[in-house]
Formats: sequence, C-alpha cells, structure tokens
Amino acid sequence: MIEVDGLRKSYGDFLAVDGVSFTAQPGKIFGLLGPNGAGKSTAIGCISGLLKPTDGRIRVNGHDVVKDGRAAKAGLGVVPQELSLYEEVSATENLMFWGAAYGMRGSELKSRVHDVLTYTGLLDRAEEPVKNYSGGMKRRINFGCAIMHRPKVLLLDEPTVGVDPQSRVRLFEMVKEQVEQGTAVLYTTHYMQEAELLCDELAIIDRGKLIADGTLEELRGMVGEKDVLRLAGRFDADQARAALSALPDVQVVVAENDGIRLSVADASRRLPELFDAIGRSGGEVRETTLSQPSLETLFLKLTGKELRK
Amino acid sequence: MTALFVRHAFHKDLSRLLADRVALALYLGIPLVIGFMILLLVGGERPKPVAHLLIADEDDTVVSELFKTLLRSEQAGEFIRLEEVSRADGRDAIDDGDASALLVIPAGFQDAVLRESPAQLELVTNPAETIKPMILTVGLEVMVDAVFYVHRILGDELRKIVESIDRDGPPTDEAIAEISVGINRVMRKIEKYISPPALTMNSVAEENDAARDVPMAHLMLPGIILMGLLLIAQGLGGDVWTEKTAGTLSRMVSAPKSMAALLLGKLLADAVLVFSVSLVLLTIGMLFLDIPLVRLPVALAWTTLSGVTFVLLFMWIFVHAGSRRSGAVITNSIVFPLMMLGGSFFPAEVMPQWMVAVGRLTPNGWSLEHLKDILMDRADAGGLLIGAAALSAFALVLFFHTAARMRGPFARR
Repeated sequence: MIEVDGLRKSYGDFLAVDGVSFTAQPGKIFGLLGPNGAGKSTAIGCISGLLKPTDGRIRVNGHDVVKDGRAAKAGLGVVPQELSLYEEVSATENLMFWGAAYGMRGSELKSRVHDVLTYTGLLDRAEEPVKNYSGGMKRRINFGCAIMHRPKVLLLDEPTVGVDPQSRVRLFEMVKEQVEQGTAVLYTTHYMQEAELLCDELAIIDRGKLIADGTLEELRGMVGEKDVLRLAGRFDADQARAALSALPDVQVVVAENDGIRLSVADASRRLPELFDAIGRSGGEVRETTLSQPSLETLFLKLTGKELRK
Repeated sequence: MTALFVRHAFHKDLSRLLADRVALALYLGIPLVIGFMILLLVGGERPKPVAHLLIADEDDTVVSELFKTLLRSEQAGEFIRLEEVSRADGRDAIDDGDASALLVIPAGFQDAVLRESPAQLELVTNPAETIKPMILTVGLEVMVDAVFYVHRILGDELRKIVESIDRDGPPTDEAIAEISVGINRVMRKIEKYISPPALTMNSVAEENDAARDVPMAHLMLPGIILMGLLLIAQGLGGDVWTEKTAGTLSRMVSAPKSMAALLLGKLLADAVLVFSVSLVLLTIGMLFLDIPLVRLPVALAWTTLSGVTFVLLFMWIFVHAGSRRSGAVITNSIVFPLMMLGGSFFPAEVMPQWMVAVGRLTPNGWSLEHLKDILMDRADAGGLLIGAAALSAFALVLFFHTAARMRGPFARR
C-alpha cells in the first residue's frame, strides 16, 4: 500500500508538487493522471526515494520512505518511464543483478530469474545481450526487472510512452496479473484511455495540485451526462460566450476567437439551437467535434484545457 | 547480504567490460604501441655511428700508406671503416649511397708532405648522410693539422731526408743513422712537453645519480605502464555517465542496496582489468629488460592499487561534470599534462628539477616513483606500506565522495 499525505516538492521558488494526498490499495491500480509537467514524475520520484520531499509524508507498506527508506524500498518495484537496463549484458544478467539489488540470493534468485524470463516470454533469448532486443522485448525485460523481488507495491511511470500497440497490450496484461496477486500499483499516464482501461481509482493532477480523485465511476459522475462540444471557426469570443451562456444547460468552458468548447447535455440534438445562437452573435462555425463524457471531458471541465497539452 | 550484491555488481560490470572487445583491445594496445614507440626513440643500446670511408690511393707511397695506417688505428677504427677502391668505383659507390665518403689521395702526396709544399686531399661526401661525413671531415682536418705540427717540430730532419734523396738517391745507412740521431735529439728536447702531456682533457657527462648505470629503457618502463593505467582509468571513469544516461543509477536509488556497494562491485571489475593490463605490460617489459620476475607480484599489487585510485579520481571528476562531454573535456585536459609531469613521456632523470618536483606531487608521478623503486629493487617494505596506506586513504576519500554523489542528484537522468 502507498500512502501519500500532503506531499510537497519544490525547486527553489517552483512548486512541482503542492500538497498531494492519495492512497493506493493492495490489489488495485491507482492512476495518477495529468499532462506533461503536471508533477506526476516528481511524485513518483519522491515515492521511490529518488527525490527528497520538501514536506509531507509517504509510507510504502507502512514504512516511511524518508525515515525508513531501506525497508520501504524493499517492497517497492519501479518501472521507469524510460528503459533502465544494462544493454551490453544478457536479460539473465540484468535480472540476476536487479534481484540481488533487492536482496535475493542463491537458488531463490536463479529460480525467480527463470520464472520472470518465462513470464516475459524471453526465455529462448535469455543469454543474448539486451542491445540485440526489439523495443517491445526491452520493455518486457524492463518490467521484469521491477517485479523480480515480488514487490507489494509497483510504480509505473508512464510505461507506455513510445511503445507499439502490441507491446502495450502485453504490458497491460502483466500489470493486471500483478494486481491479481495482490500488488498495489501506482500508474501514471497522460493517456486517458489507458487510465479508463486499467485503473480502479484515479487522481487527476495539474500544475502540482491534485484536482480530483475517486473511482472511475465517481469521477465520471463529476462530469455528469453532458457531452463536450468543440466548435472551430471564426467568433467574437465575448459575444459568443454571452449568447451561448444564455441557453439552458449549456456551460461555456472556453471561448476564444477561433474556437469554443462547451459542456452540453444531449449536444447532438441541440446543435441547431447552438449554431443559431452563434450565428446571431456574428460567429461562423466551420468544424464541430462531439465527445461523450469521459475522463478527458472531466479534465477539460476542471482545467479548461486538453490533457495532452 | 551486501557482500553478495557486491559480487553480483562485480560480475555485471566485468561482463560489461568483457562485452566491449574493442575497448579491451585499445586498453592493452595503446600503451604497448606508445611504449614501443618511446623505446624506439630513446631506449635501447644503440651502436656508435661508424663512417664507411672509401680511399682511392693514387699516390701509393710510404706516406700515403702511413696515412691509411693511422685511419685504420684502433682509436679511429671505432668511428671509421676503411675500404680501398679506385677513384671511379668510389664515385659510383657514393652516387649509389653505399658509403659515407670517398677520400682521394692524389699522386705526389708524399712529396708534398715531405717538402711542405701545397697538396690537396679530395673528400667527396654522401649527401644522404649528415653525422658520419661530419665525423670524417673533422677527423681528416685533425690529421692535416698534425702534418703541419710535424713539420714545425721535425722540419729540418724531413728536409734532410728529401735533400739526401734528391742528391744521392736512396739514403745510405750512415745517412739514416744521422737523421735518426737528429730526430732523437728533437724528441728529447720536447719530451718534457709531451710526456706527460702538459694539458689533459677530462670529459665529464653530467648525469643524475639515479640515472647512472640505468639504461633509458628501464627508466621509461614505469612511465609507460602508468600512462597505460591513466588512459584506462579515464575510459573506465566515464562509465558512471553511461549508467546515468541508461537510467540504471536512478533505478538503483530505488533499491534497498547501497550505491556504495554498486560502486565497490564496479571498482572490483575495474581492478581485474587494471591487473590484467598491468600483468601483460609488466611481464613484457620485465622480460624485455631482463628485470627479475621475482619483483612482479609487488609491482602488480602496486599498479593495481594505483590504477583503481586513478579510476576513482576520474569517476570523481565525471560525477561533478555537468555533462559527459564536459567530463571528457576536463579529463582530457588533465590526463596529458599529468602524463607529461608525472614522467610518462620523459623519465624524471632527464626532466628539469622544477618539473620533477611538480611531477612528484601528481598522483601518477608519486605512484611512478614507487613503481620505479620496486622494479629497480630499491624499495623498502616500510616505505611501500606507508605509500600503499596513503594511496588507499586517498582512494577511500574519493570512493565515499563519489558514492554520495552517485546516489544524489547525479543519479537522475
């Protein structure tokens, strides 16, 4: 289990993480969502011991990561955002080394190396230098190194960035298998679909602050049944905002001279009404995009910006 | 448990070192090649230059024969190898570059010498050579000067011989006896000036006490080995940046085992490489220079300790550098001055004293002096132990400082 309470991390005057609190439970995947630069990796760095928190408390399996770092780290597995492997040596040697780094030894270590090689599907190429592997194979052995010591807590920091679809599917399977064995997983991503597909609980972070958290259902409930409608064209932002805000059950999220974003219930049936209001305000719609309620729409609603920016 | 992890870290880094065959070949090859070139330049017992002098004797008289006999003397023979040829053959040989010079003794040479009348020896030198023709030119000038001084001393007696021949033909026994008595009188008069000589020249080549009786190659060997170790250490020191950029250092920070254990395993693997290269270089050098191999174990222990300390020194520089490139620039800019000052390019025995004093303050210069003492069997056990303790203390400071840096901000990529 991971317990994060009031975590703050600053670099001089810049506050990278500002009072973030959440709990990742055993046997569940906790997703930490946010755009690039939101503070996800900083939070992961503090949990893994790579960064020292400025303030707040982090406990991993009941051990404080600052005061009792060694015990906290012993039950922690980390899958970094980028590959972290010794590419000159074989998968076996990588696994042996990382297993030993977590205190494994002797026949237990050898047996576990065999198991992980089988699990990651790399047994037949176990003695080849990792540099000869494909990108997907490297991702798998990178994951294998993190689970060598059967960690009770697994941190995955945007593990699918730059990964091909096939490897991504296999990675999801492996993460789910760890969860089935009772591991608490903290999964950071800026891909909403991944979070919706994998996570049992979620927290949305932006500019270092946690802006929403809960189960997937709870978060969806925050969006309600409203759709997100994006209109592109030429507008007078102030007049369009005034005209659209006057309509019932229409929330203007963003109004700019070249684009408008609206939160509207049953948007597809209300398009003529919306176009009419925009036309009366002197605007011209050239393109329309309608999105069903999702985490992305929640993020849009909460921050007024798209997640991938 | 930590010891087991150190073993795994050692095994991992040894595998990484062995996987890079090109680097291994360079680690061993570069000091061998550089050492061989330096030895070619300054080392070995090179033979004295011997000039090949061709003589075309067109006079063929007693005096010309006497002249050639002087050139064949034991003293001249150290520098000159004489070969009699005809003038035409001699010219051909010079044109072909087969000799240093051709000396033509013209007909009438004896007559000119005895009568102190003008005569011209013709010396044709090989333009492809410089030193040897110069030796011959200077040698012949000395002999020509000698003829002048013989005339100053025995001029009357020589003229009597010539006049007797001109007047009466070959000298009679009485005439020879009279000339001999005259020469004997002159020699007695000058005996007190020439025996013992009034002036003597004592050539003294200044040399350092340490260099006396020690061949140059022996003085160069420790420097060449230390040069190899410095180059290896520079390469191995940069490996911390390889680990940093690979993300393995940041992953290691998240593991319960310490960064110091990882560093220790890495250094043990480096020590194996340093030991192996030292073994090859020392064995070749000692066999080549006839240094007893009984000194090899101590020399190996010393070079391994020194090499690992150098690795730590370069690692320490690399973990403080802002980028791998800046680390490489810094280490490159110090490694060559270190080699120069520390006696790898030129032994301390031929360096200016101020440079020797500065060089002994460098880690490699300090280490080199001890290695030289070991190889020349002039090291005492107490001094070596103190030296090893000092080196180890320096290495320990570097070790803990580097490990602390590696688990801090440096670990993040």
